[in-house]
Amino acid sequence: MAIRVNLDVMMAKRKISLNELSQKVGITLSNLSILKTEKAKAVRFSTLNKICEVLECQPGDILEFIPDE
Amino acid sequence: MKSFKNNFFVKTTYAYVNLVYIIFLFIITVLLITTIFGLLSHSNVINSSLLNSNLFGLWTKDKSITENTFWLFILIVNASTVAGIYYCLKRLNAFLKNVYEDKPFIKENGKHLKIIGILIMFFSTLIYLIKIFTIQNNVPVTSLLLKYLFLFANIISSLFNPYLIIGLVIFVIGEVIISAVEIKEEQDLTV
Repeated sequence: MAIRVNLDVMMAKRKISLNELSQKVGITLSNLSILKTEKAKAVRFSTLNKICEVLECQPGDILEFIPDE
Repeated sequence: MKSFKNNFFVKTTYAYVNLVYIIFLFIITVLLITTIFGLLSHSNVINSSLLNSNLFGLWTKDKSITENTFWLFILIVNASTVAGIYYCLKRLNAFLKNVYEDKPFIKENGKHLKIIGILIMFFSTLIYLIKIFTIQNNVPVTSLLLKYLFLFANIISSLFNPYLIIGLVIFVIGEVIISAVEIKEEQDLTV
């Protein structure tokens, strides 16, 4: 898949751990880990909304499209 | 999700199929021993041993049919059908075990059902076709045209035997389960 997830970059900028982020967003640690490691097949808008709210960022800061070469 | 271990029908079906799977080989062994014993002794018990071999009603008492070579052919068909039934039981037992252990939506279950469906379709059609070509001799039809029409109608009717439809439905359910597994995987990986 050509979508890169830069969640770890934003988490480092905001100095927040995965555990803390999962608690604030309201999803399980395993689900957040699935997203962070790019194993997710789909992301709900509600989840993306919550993540952007907690990390005070735009969806484009977390998700990046990499074209296939 | 409710556990299948508390489901009465799942528990009962699994227990029943498991029991049949375990004693099936024993029953077949007993039949085989009585058949061989009947063949090794002399003519009085040959009819009863042949009766044991006539598991699927593939021949009648017509003398022209009970020749040695045809009898061997029927024995081979019976043996392969019994092996097919045993393999189906094995697969069905594995499928029910997975369901009982709360793992209904796995690809393995879909494959089990597809194989069971194919085997049922194949062996039921084979048995029906053999019955048509052997027992058809007893049809009281004088005209040759009518005889061939009757044969043709019988062959077509073998495609509509109920076991073929059951096999097809089981095959389709297997495909549905495989499709459900893909949907479940996508759902599991949606955050």
